[in-house]
Amino acid sequence: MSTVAARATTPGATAISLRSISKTYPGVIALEDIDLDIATGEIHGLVGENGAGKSTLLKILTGAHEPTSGTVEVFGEELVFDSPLAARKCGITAVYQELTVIPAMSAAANVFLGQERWRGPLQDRAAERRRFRELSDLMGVQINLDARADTLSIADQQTLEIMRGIESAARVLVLDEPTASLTLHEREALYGVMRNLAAHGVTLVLISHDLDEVFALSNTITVLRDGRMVASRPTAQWTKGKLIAAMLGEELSVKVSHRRKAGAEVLRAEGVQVPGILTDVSLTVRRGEILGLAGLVGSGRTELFRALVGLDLQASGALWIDGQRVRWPRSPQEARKLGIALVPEDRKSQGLVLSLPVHDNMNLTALREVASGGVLVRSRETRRARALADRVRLQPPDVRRPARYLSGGNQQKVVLGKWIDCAMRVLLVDEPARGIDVGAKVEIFSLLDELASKGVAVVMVSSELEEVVENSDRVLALSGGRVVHEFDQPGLTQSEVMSILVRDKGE
Amino acid sequence: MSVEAAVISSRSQSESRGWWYEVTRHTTTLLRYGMVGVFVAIFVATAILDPSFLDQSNLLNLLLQWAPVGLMAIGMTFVIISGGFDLSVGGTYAGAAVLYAGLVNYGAPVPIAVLGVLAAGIGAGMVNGGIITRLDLNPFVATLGTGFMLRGLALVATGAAPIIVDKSSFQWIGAGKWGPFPIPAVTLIVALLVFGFILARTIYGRSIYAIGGGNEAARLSGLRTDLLRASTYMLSGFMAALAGVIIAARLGSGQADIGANIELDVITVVVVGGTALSGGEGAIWRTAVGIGILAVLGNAFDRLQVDTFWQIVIKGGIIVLAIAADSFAKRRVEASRRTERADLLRRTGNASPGLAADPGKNEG
Repeated sequence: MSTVAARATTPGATAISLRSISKTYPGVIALEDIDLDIATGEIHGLVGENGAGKSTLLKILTGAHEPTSGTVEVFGEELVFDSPLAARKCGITAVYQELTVIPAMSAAANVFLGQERWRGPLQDRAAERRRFRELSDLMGVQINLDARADTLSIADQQTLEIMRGIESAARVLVLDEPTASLTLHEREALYGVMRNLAAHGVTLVLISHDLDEVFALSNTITVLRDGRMVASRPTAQWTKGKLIAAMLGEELSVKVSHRRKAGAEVLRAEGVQVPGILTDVSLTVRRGEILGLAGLVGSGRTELFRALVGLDLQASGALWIDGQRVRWPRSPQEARKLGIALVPEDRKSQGLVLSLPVHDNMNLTALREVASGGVLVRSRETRRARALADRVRLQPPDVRRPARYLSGGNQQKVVLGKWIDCAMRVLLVDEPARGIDVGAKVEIFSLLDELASKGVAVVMVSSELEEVVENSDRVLALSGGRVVHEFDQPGLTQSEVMSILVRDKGE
Repeated sequence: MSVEAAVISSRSQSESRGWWYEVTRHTTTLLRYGMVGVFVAIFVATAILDPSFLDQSNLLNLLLQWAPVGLMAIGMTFVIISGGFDLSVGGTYAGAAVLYAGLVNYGAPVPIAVLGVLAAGIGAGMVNGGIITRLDLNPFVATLGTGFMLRGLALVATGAAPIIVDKSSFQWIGAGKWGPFPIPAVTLIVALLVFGFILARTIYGRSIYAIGGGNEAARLSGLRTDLLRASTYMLSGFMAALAGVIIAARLGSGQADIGANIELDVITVVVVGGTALSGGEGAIWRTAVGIGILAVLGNAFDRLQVDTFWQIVIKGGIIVLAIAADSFAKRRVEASRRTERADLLRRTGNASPGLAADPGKNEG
């Protein structure tokens, strides 16, 4: 992250102390003998791979689950797990990754839900509105407090959650992936708020996949692996490499080969318009290259992708595939016939049919290939899916498992895998690594790399500038629905791209 | 790595996979197929209490009685799995009965009349599918409306008077027999098998599951989701029309007021079998089990002379129980899957499920 401000140093008394915490579920030990001290007013980073025990620890901290053995002390008082509210009474509040805002209620009503301001028997809406504005100012955001929550962006909804947490006068705030759906700008604002809160003596526990974020914010970083605590040290004693090694239990090379040769032009789009969103966007992609699209949320990245696969019927523009002028696709089927496929941003609601097993999800793009006369042939279904699972390195390679039960990384592999054998010429990949763990991230990008070296033209969008810069051959900067700059690798740095994006936004 | 090897190589945790783990695993399996167990239990209990229940004539008569609801439930299963809902089947059913009687009375040959009515049923479904996909209307409300319209039209056309048809060929499809088997019973069995196969084993069937479980994902994969969705209403309309033809044939007349609230019976059958109202999950065999449970139970009640009004109360209770069992089973499955996954990770001793840094460690 670009902002690395001075870390608040308030090594006060112990806010939370965990003593030999273990948690056993039937047949599994989720946490084993955890001893951990969290100091008052610090930002305590908690990292680990999926399944390392972070969420179990979170549930214990927030009183949702009782540990099998061990004690939790909050400001010197032992936490009694008699109700889910026990932790909250002690001043611990969690902001979860999944949104819990109520869609049909207003923004303000959501923030004050269960903690309304009263004047006598009446709800004091004026006071709530004032407080809402204060909170908005504190966070540096502008949210219409009368807007229905479901009309707000995901980022704004997340912001509401955090505001709700702050409003509940928590002494300890546990943040589970708070920035996963925030834009860079909003993140920076949130980081400011977090530092502010810490400086005011609020203790923050930060769970995040974004190691840069953890580094920039935390005073102490604790690593969990396999239900055990690997280490808990002041941030200054960690390096990113050490941290990853501690999380994975081994060193990992993060570099992707860039030894591809871009070939002939596959797709050229000119003058792409989506009323109110995209203005005169042009781009070309060549065989075997990865084109990165950099831009803040709202820059039109996702909309460009949606337009290219025929999901936006208002889109217009001129399109060439392999040099041939073609009609702009009006549906995903038409786009598919042109060889354009989209790996969408939200893999759960757009990429996968969660109720169906992995093999159906992988074969959904090619049901005819695994059928004979319209009747599915089980052996072919399994064979095709197994081959794909193998290529995307699905772990474990069980293709009968419903997609719902896969980890984020595995789900993403399935969404990518379903296009591998469909002779697609252009693959549009939106946020391929959002919310997945470090190991799977590396695999996703090396998979994209592999696809590109086999001649697919890949266009990738990510909110993580680092991902775009490291994994693309060329980068287009989008801002306000326009292409504002084109960067040719190699030697491109994040700050170069950032300065263009930020400069343009300032105008 | 084989499970045995994994267990041996594991740390001590594997011993803590206790009896509770085993119990919950089996509960899960039991609940997934729970409705089959309920059906068998009810069937056996009824047979013991009243041995004449097992008479061939009684069983065939049950199938005959339940054929219209059963046929409509097949169409409804497709609609519900695709994520939709069809409340218009009652209207289509009554409309089809009236139309069939009317056509035959106006001199149409019976086979032509049947085909005409079936086509009209498909047409009604096409209208439903069209307004739901094109105008993006909520299927619940849209089909509630079209259902009223169809029944209203049937009432308008007949003035609520039955159209009596005095022609034996008119009755064949509802009252005829094939050997000892009533034609409607045979139709129901054949339809269950054919559509069960289509839903479970064909591209079309799998696509229905896909649009119900994840419409956007299906669309992005290149499926024609609107067309598929509309097709389920066409199938439902077809089935309702077939059911209407059968009932008109059995009664020897077309009546606009038959089958009031029959759509609720149809939905009950589908739900009791365990097909999820949320879409994406379910099966025709489940619907068959649902038909079985309600048919046997109704028969048992009649024979044991349970008060009709109490039967309604009990039917309501069964619906609630079925849904509660289904929801409980889902939570259990979810929980045991998580446990299994976590368990697997622990046993393989590797913290990184998505990582193939050392494939040998995770596989084998």
